[in-house]
Amino acid sequence: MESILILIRDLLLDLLDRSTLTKFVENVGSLYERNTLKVFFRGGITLIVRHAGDSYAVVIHGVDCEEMVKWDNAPHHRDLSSFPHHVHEGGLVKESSKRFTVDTLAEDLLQVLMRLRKYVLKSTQDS
Amino acid sequence: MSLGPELTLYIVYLLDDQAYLTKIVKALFLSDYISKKILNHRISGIRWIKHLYGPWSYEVHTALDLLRNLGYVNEVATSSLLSLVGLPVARRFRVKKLGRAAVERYVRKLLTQREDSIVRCVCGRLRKFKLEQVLRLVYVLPEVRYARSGEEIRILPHPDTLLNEVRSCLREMGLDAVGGIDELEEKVNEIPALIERGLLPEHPTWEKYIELRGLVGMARELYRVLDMLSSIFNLAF
Repeated sequence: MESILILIRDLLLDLLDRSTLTKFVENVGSLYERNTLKVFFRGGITLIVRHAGDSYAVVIHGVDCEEMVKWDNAPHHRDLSSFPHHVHEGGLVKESSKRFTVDTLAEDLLQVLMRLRKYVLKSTQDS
Repeated sequence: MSLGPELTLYIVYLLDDQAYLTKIVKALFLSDYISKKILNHRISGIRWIKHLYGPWSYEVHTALDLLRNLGYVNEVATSSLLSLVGLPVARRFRVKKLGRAAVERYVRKLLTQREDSIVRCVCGRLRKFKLEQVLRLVYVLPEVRYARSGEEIRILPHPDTLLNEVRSCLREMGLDAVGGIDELEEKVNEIPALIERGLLPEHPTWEKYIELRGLVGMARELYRVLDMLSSIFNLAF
C-alpha cells in the first residue's frame, strides 16, 4: 500500500467514531482494489479512498451505491482554477480546495468526514 | 514437496494490544510447505515468544533480517524486503554465520515441521545466537497491520497473475500491452495524459488508473520477494 494511504488509514481510524462503522476494509476485494480503502458506515453509506502517488479519488457513496460526492484530481477540467483538483457533486463539477497531500490530509479528511457524517445521520434517520 | 502453480504467500500476523509495540506480525511463507495449522497455534506461539523475551521493549525488525542473521539471505535481499515493508534497514549484528550445509538442514527442518514448532525453532536459534535483545518480528505487508488476530490470511496472487489483470484492464481501455512489467507500467502511466486529451473518459478510468498503479507496484514487490525466496531456497517459481 502506498505510504500516503497508510497515513490516510491511520487518520481515518483516529478520526472516525467506530460505533458508526460496520466495516473497515483495506485493499481487499478484487485484484483491482489495490491502493483503495473502503469504509462502510451504518445506514449504507460508504467512503472509498483511492490514492497512489499524487493521484487520488475520494468518493462518498449513498445507500444505493449512487455517487453522492467525489473529489479527485484527474486532469480533465482545465477551466477550473483549482485544476486538476475538483469535486463532483449533484451532477456538477466544481473547484475543490482539497489536495489530499501529506500536508493537507488531516484537514481535508476531517472536512470529508464532516460531510460524510451528515449523510450517515440522515441515512440512519431515514431507515 | 513442490510448490503449487502459484506462489501463495501466507501472511500470518498477530496483534498484541497490550504491547508497547502493539503489533506482532509473523510471516512465514511458501504454500505447500506450511500447513494451515499455524493458524490454530498462533496464540500459543505468541505466548511462547513473550515467555522467552519478556516485555515488549524491543525494536521491530523483520523476519528476513532474522534470516539474514542466520545466514540465509544476503544484504541486498534483506534491504529489498525492508524497503518493501517500509522499514529502515536495520543495523548489522555480530552473528556467527552458519555453514551452507547447516543452513540447508535448518531450513528443511523449519519447512517440514509444524508451524508452531517453527516459531520455537526460530526463537530457539535466536537464543542460541544470543540475540534475545533483538526480537525479530515479521512485518511483511503494511496493509494487514490493522487486521485482528485470526481475522484474515492474505494469499497473494503470483505477480504474473497481477500483470495479466493489468493487461486485461488496459485492453478494455483500448491500450494493448503485450510486454513485461516495464511496458505495462509505461502504458499505465500514459493514462492521465490520455484522460487530459479527452481520449479516455475521466471516470471510471481515473479510479482504474490509481488501482492499476497499485497492481503494478504490488507485482514488482512480489517479483522481488520471489527472487529473494528463490535465492534462499533454490526454488524455481
